Amino acid sequence: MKRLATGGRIDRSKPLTVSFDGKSLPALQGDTLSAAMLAGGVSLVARSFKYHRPRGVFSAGVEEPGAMVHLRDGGRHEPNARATVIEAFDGLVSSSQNAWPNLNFDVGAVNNWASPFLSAGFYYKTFIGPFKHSTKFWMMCETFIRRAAGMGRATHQTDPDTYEKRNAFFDVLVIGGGVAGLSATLSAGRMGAQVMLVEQDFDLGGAVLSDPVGSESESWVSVVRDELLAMENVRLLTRTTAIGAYDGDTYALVERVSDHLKAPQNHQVRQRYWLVHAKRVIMATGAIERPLVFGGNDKPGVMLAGAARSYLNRHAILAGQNVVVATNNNSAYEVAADLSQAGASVQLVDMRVSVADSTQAIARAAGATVVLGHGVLEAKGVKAVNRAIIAPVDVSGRAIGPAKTLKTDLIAISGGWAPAVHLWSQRFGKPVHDKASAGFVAPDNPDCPIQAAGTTAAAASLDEVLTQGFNQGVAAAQAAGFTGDAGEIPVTFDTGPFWQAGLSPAWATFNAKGKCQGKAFVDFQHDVKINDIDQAHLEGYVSVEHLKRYTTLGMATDQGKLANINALSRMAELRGLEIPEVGTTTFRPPFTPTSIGSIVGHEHGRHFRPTRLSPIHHWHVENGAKMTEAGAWMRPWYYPETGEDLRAAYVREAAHVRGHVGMVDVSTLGKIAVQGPDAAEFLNRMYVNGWKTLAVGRLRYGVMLREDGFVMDDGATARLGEHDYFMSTTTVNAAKVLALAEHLLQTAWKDLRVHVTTVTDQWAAIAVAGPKSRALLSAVSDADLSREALPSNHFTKASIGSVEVRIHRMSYSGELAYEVYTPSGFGRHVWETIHAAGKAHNLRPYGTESMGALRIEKGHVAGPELEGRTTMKDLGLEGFASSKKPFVGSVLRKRPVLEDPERPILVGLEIEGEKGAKPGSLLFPADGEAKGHGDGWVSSTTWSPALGCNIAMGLLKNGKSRKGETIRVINFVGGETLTAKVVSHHFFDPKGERQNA
Amino acid sequence: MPEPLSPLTNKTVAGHFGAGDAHGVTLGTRRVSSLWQIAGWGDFEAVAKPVLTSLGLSGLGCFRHAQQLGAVTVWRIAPDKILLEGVRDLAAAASEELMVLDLGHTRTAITVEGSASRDLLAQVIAIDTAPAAFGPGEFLQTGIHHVGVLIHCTGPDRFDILVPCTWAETIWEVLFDNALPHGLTIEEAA
Amino acid sequence: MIRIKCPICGLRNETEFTYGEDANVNRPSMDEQGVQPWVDFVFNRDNPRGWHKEYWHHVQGCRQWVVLERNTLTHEIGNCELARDAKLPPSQASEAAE
Repeated sequence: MKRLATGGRIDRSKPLTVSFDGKSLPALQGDTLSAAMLAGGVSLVARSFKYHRPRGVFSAGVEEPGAMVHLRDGGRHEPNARATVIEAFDGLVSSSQNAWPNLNFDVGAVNNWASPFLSAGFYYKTFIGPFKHSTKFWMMCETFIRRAAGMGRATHQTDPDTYEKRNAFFDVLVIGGGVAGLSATLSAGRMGAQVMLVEQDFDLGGAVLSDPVGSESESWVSVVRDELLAMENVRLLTRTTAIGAYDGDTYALVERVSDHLKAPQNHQVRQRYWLVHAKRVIMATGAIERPLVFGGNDKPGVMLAGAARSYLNRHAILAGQNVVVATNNNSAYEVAADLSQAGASVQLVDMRVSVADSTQAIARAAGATVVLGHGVLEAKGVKAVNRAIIAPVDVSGRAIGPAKTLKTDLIAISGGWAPAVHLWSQRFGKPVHDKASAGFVAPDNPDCPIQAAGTTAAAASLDEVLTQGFNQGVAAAQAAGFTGDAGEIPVTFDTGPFWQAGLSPAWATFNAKGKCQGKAFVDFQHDVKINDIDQAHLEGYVSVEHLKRYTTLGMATDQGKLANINALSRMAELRGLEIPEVGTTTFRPPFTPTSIGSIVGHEHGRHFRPTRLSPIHHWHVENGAKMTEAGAWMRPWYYPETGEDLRAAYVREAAHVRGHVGMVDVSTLGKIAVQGPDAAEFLNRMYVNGWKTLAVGRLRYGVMLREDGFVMDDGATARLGEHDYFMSTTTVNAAKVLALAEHLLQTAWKDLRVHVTTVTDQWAAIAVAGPKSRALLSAVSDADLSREALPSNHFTKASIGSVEVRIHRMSYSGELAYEVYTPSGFGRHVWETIHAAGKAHNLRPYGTESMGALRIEKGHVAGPELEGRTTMKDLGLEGFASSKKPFVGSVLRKRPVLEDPERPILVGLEIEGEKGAKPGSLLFPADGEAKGHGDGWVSSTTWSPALGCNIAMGLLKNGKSRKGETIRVINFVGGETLTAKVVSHHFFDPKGERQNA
Repeated sequence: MPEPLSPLTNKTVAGHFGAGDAHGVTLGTRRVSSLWQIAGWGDFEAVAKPVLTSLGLSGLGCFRHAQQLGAVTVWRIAPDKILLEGVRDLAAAASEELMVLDLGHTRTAITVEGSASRDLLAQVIAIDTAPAAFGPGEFLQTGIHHVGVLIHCTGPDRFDILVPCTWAETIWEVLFDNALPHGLTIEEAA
Repeated sequence: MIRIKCPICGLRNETEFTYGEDANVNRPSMDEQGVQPWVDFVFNRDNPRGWHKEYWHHVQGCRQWVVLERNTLTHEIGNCELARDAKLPPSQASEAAE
């Protein structure tokens, strides 16, 4: 292999430092990694997936099945990178994968000799069939198999790069920057449509880039490109792959912004994920060359004919000196001509007996030898091809005469072309078989938002490609509502019929006995041979979908871009059917392997999900609070004093509240303004208890059910005015309650004149709790908080530090307590004012952990009890339910299954010993076998400073009659058994004397 | 009375960030001085109109275009709900038929300005941000990073994003990180 | 990606919405005491193949509930109107009575 002195679309003045397995490659600007490998004489690039067979560069595009490498190192390391689409950049480091100890001497290659045991259905037969009563053997083997068969390895390091998402809206999206795509963009753009053209290569031109430099087609591209660049309504994106077509005319693209650089520069992203909404799409994605199937067709040195031409004309690399071009169609004649002209000795072996003289002349004129009616039976050579065995063949590809051997270092193969209809198929299903072009295409339907143009639509000549593209551009612009003038089709260039013309039905060769000579691959990436398809057929597989899964054909990262049509053809032959009768599988996104980073965009790390902060958040952080997540909120967990851990801090904080006074930020509670003349009726329907008697200035605790009768939420609601109520919900259920209220008011309860609006952000809320809370708040505010002036469940307006606040008399801790509501912009100010005044009253802030301890001591239910499977009766809340009015869930809560006296109900547990119980532990009687789910479970647990022991809340079958019983609390996860006494869950001050002080 | 504290006080550290040579986006904050919601039912148009005419506006407006007169901005956010910024106190307008709600502490405004501001928006919302689709005077309610926001186009390449105060930092951080490739300037807190 | 034309906000991505429930079932009136109508309302669904009406909530937009026609077979999206303006289908109770 050698780089020619002239030609190619490369910059000889810009050599790049590129390496593979430590070997330096002579790369130039404009090369791909595979081109650099060929230029550097690297023929063995990888070991195959299953048999560890040597593989080289097979293609020059996205369909590459073999030349896959580890790219880059450190956090940017990328496995399974296709060398054919990696742009060479200065500092590129790559290495081989799936080979041990190294690429040349690979122990796994023993699989090649064991291949009869690794045939179709290998996994099912070997591991599932004989051992179907036990999975142990499979589990043991799986580890080994996964190591032996496989691809590259991912890195465990963090990706240092950033990725972003972007939405875009266009009238017309043109996918593919070849001749068809360019002419479609031109006409749609001239008509005034907003057009986006995307091309996965770094340069426009498509197949033209594989034409010799200086071709007429090249100058056509540059003229059109210049016109497009001047259009403001046209956006050209190169290095961008359309990976998915989705419902709602949505298309996903990945733009490789910095993949062609060693590292992204100047804060640019590595890749950009575009979601494009387009009224019309022109799919000008071209076609993918089909391989011929013969023994050893996977060996380094066997290459698609079009790829050999690309490396020659684009990269000035002659991939072989003694070339055998094997074909069943006309497209390879130009390949033979170009290679021959570049100095190679070329023998063109065509399976067809009769080929037009004019076609033959293309090759002959350039000095190539043409051998008709012959096929390659086998490629020989250990790690690279050195001989081709050819023989005369009949129309089915079977040898009908003596074979002979040709010395060769490159077998360039062409089995025809398959239109790349993937994107259409992703959205609309299975493509149809077009007999004229012998390929699968999108069916003709002018109303379809995706229209194919060019070789994707099986256009027969470059002229037709151009015209088709132009006309599709006009149609798309018209469909999007544009009526402007598209002007003339730019001057076409002289071209005869090309590619698919004259395709022979034969695409595989067999020896005289009808067998493939050697291992003949259909799916190169998953190592599926033609025999595997034959065997699947013998075993009775008739559906292509089953064939695919049984043999794993088309299931590798290339998704069968090279394999599918050949496999279908084989299936059709074996079943004696036409290809359309066999059908095809459906393509699914993504079109090419896509980085997880681009799909994730910014949504990882601190942006994994949004974070919600209380207006007092920064005070907590600045004052040493340890924070914890509560849903999306960050909340102060505990405020450690010198040397304290969580346990020491929360126990101290909880005891401090009972002994003195504490303050806790409860701004995270959901708050909803309920306004309207029918607000009381609305609350009556939403809550189980009655609201019609609640006077202005008072508040009331309420319980809310779901429609199916289970408890949904609880909280207090205050009546601020005649038509104004202030509802509070638990922190986690705020959004759910609001959405339900909106739903009912906009559907079933349209008769109610009520508006609900979230005011969670409007108000900061501070709970001040403890025996000294009245003294403290009386000192810091102007309110009269005496027992007479502000009894429980009343509120008053007041001012603290010149800010207007509302003080609710409300206790969650069971102590004398108040909640101070203040507009959120003043939240920190009011908090700090209370905190400063609190010095005289021995005030301490407390966090969610001690808040939890205090509520458990009181037996108040919270999230762990309101978990969606508990009823009011289960939780001892039934007393709140009004029998005088219906409410959400009022009928279904009385379903017999929910009234079952056996249902676990809420109890308190006093745990014996020093260790506390873990939530989720199961409850069992003191004696007997601990099996199954037991009699109940632990929901909440804490050390109780007030009681001096570990306590817990839980749900226990027949809990009411079991007070005083000793039971076992078993944590199966931790393997720990505790004993506990069943008690009332109102552990502390059951009469509520303290809070009513 | 003290000044209300902006939820973005800790974030508005003036400076230039990201792409060194570019000045694509400027982020800043604006205090929402007052924000009221009026809401009603079947005859909402008739009941709400006097409130708007008293402010010098002709009617309720539409769901797409904000109305602006002096310091007052009006957004019709739902069939029977209107948001008004810059009015002193609407409490007196309340009646059986018209609910008035003070939301003055619920939102803060993040200002986005610059040649890349539309690109930045396209990175965080799934709506066409081209000038023809979203021009000055228009507003939309959408989600940034799963949080409901109101975006008001206040100039050719200038936007106010009204964000809920408790979500303000998280949205700021999303905008900040998305803006780095464009070259980001942070303005001194307003 | 479903695109929903909200009557207030215009054409938006489904990511701004949350799915609510089947819009063909009517909530029984509040004073309904029978268990069966509530069981039907909460648990029983037709699950049709083809066009279907659903409640969706424009939760990151105008916060209106809409009734959206969606084809369960092809995923096509049809008409979309505000739930408050939508004519509710005859309730199952009245259907049974017919």
